Amino acid sequence: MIDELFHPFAYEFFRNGLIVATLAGALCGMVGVYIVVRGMSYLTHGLSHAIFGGFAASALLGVSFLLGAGVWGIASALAINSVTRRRPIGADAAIGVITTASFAIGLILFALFGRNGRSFDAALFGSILGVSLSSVILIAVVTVIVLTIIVFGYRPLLFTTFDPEVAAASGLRTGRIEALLMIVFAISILVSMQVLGVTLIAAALVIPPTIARLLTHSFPRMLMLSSGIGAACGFIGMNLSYHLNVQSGPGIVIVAAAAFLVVYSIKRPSGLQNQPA
Amino acid sequence: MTGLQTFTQQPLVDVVDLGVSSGSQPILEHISLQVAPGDLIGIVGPSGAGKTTLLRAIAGTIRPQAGSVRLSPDLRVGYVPQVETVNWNFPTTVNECVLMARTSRRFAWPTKVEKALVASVLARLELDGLADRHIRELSGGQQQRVFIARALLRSPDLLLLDEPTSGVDVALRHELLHLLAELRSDGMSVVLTTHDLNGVATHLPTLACLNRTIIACGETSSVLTPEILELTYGASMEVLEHGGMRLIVDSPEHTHPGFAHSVRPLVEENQR
Repeated sequence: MIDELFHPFAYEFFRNGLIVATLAGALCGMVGVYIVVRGMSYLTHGLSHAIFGGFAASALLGVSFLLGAGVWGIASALAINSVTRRRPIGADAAIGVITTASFAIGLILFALFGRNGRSFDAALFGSILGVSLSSVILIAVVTVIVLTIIVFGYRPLLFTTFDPEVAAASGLRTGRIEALLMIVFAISILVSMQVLGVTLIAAALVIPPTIARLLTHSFPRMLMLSSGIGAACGFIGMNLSYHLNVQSGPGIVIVAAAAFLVVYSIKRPSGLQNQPA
Repeated sequence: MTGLQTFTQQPLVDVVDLGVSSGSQPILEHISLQVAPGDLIGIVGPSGAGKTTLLRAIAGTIRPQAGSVRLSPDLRVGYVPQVETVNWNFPTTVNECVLMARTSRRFAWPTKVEKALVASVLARLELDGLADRHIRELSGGQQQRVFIARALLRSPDLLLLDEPTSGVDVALRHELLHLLAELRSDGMSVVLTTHDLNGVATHLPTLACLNRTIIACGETSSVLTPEILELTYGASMEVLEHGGMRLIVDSPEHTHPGFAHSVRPLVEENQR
């Protein structure tokens, strides 16, 4: 039994996949906090689907996935940020238009030119096949960079997230800070896409912060809890996906969803109600 | 526009011919206003008069389409938002909430000096012992004071408060007015918006009556006249004096005769 549990660790691709999944869980859990506390969960769906368009385009053009999807993703993120700030139409509606159009472009490009069915599936649902050492290094570097931004910019990021109007009145350049956050979201999604997949990455960004919020009413504690929960879900989910022989994305998400159900059923959050006091 | 004040020193805020619009809809037009050190100014006017917009323009979060808002160099501004605009589900304790505004330091954890400062500000606002509570778990008055504490932690020269007395009962309103007077005597300038003429405006030394443009600005006693109020609110109002206090009542023709006997209309008195 124990042997069976440790059996996959013999494979390098699994060890790499496990590290990437754990780091992706921690990274998404960490940045997801800034999305969830603002009630912008729809953004995660939008952004990941937008990046899928870039993924398909880069596959078609034969350029590096990171370059293509990275440029596309950051451009989409900044476009969304600009729409959200100006609000000529409903921000959620505008995001729906921008990002589903981008997703549709990706699907069309794959349908017309995609020859490799496996890479299409991998983009949608995540895969640990082909997780190389460079993927491990990449996500580790991004995690360290994002952690550095959060530690060294903690108060400006928190102030802008909680109260952008007053933060601006206090002299913070909230426009730049919000743009920086959007770029952080886009890059985090980009490096996590390989193991989580476009359609499921939103769960990794939303579920761990939601569980953490049920457990604490303190922002720094929520950040730490959410990162830890995300990492644990990534680690356990990746093992589960190997043993059940399913894609890594669903494996990770089902663990996170189960954790949410358990915590939700035993814990009533403090300071979290539907109606203002 | 204040007119009544002669400035011996540079004003902290100098608003000159300010214009703000949303699309083609003007919100503020030809606003000129000065805030001097130690001023306590109330901005009054009907809903939609542009009170919050003027406050935000002074705070620098709105870029004016016309005119300018000049702040004295190195002016520290503390801004207290309307409590209705606060996201009460946000995960933040009282301690975390007040600390986030000290952006001179970027890390999460406070220095010893900051810890002492937070403790003294919370004690001054009678919030000591509540530092680790979530902001939603407080009473309405305490919630209001958390956001004042957050603004005070920046050691501001100018405190801006948007409708600080909305949804607050009489005792808390008095407490707040005392606190603002205290801060003013400490040398802080205070500008607040209010829709409460009797509860707040009559107690302030200086008022600016706003309805898209400044109708009048100056000492409260000279500004609170039926003519200016009618221009500001577009409704007939009477200013009465009762026991040395000013009372503003609308629809004077419906005033109960018994009530009218006990208070003398100020205008009549002036006309004698």
